[in-house]
Amino acid sequence: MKRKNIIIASFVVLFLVAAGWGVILYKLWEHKSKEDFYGNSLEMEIPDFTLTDQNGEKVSLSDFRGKPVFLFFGYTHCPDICPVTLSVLNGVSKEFGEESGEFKVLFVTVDPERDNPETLKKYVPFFNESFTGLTGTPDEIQDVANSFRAFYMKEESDSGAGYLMGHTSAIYLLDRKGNVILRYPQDKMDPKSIAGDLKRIL
Amino acid sequence: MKSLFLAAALTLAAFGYSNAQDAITVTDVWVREVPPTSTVTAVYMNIANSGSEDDRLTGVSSPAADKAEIHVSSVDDKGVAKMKMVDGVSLPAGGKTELKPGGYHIMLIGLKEPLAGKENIEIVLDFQKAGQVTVNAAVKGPDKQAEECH
Repeated sequence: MKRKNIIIASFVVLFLVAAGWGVILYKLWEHKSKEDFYGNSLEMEIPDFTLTDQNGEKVSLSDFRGKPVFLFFGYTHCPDICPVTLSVLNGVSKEFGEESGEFKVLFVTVDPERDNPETLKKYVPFFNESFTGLTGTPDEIQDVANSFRAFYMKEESDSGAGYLMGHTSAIYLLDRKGNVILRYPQDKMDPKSIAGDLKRIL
Repeated sequence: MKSLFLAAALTLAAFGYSNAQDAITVTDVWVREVPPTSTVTAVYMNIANSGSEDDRLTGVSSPAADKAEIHVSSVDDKGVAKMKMVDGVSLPAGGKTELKPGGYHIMLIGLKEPLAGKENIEIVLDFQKAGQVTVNAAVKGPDKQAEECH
């Protein structure tokens, strides 16, 4: 009887050791595979939200469940960082050609005061017909930015362009479930490399 | 013969020194095509100062826009992008200064006509020492802009 117990205990110990190693190896592999991404790993659950698109239609993040989503915060009066980023995302779409319908690009304005659906309609599709521009009330926009821990602020200036906006300038990549998995800051804007990450998760 | 050579060298040196405009070379000038209804855009270029004196870009204008300003974009350590107006760009002697996406750029405000369909537009640059230099900025559409972004 005692001997049987010892055998069982041995098996339990062996199993635990093996399982422990399994977990360690899995974590190492997971870590390694994350490091292989071009974008910076960032896991964030994003609660569903609803905003208004450039056609005046209500659009929810959950409408795109099943597709990876690139999301970027910007504003249409921005002549440098925002067009650069939208051009990069257009470059990513070009890498996919006809398969670019497999993912979605969302541009969320941080300047709802000036960016109504009509303004977005004249701006966002210019970079790529398939991109969607989103606006909303100031509170709606603030809530969405908060879920992404994104920041923006109005900055008065003497510029002839009127006020400028400071804003988080990274592209977020959301997986098929709508959670953020990768983030591309402004120094990681190579369309081919971003497309490479996307191919891996598609 | 020796004195002739010396004279030539001195003349060249004197010319190079006195004519600061020759020291400034502006290349790869391009303007971002924006949606037809947008009236603001950005112009980028490389400015080389091969002279022995520092110079400074102090003013910009364009017949294509109501107003032109020098701006700089920057991204802080939290990833927040900001843009601000500056009164000039320093051009160190012997250095090359890039006006590029995400950095210094010339902001055109109040475009008089959409850029679509245009080959280029004129940009007038005022330098502290080199004086006024007029360059042509090539219009780049959305498909070509991505090439400039890294």
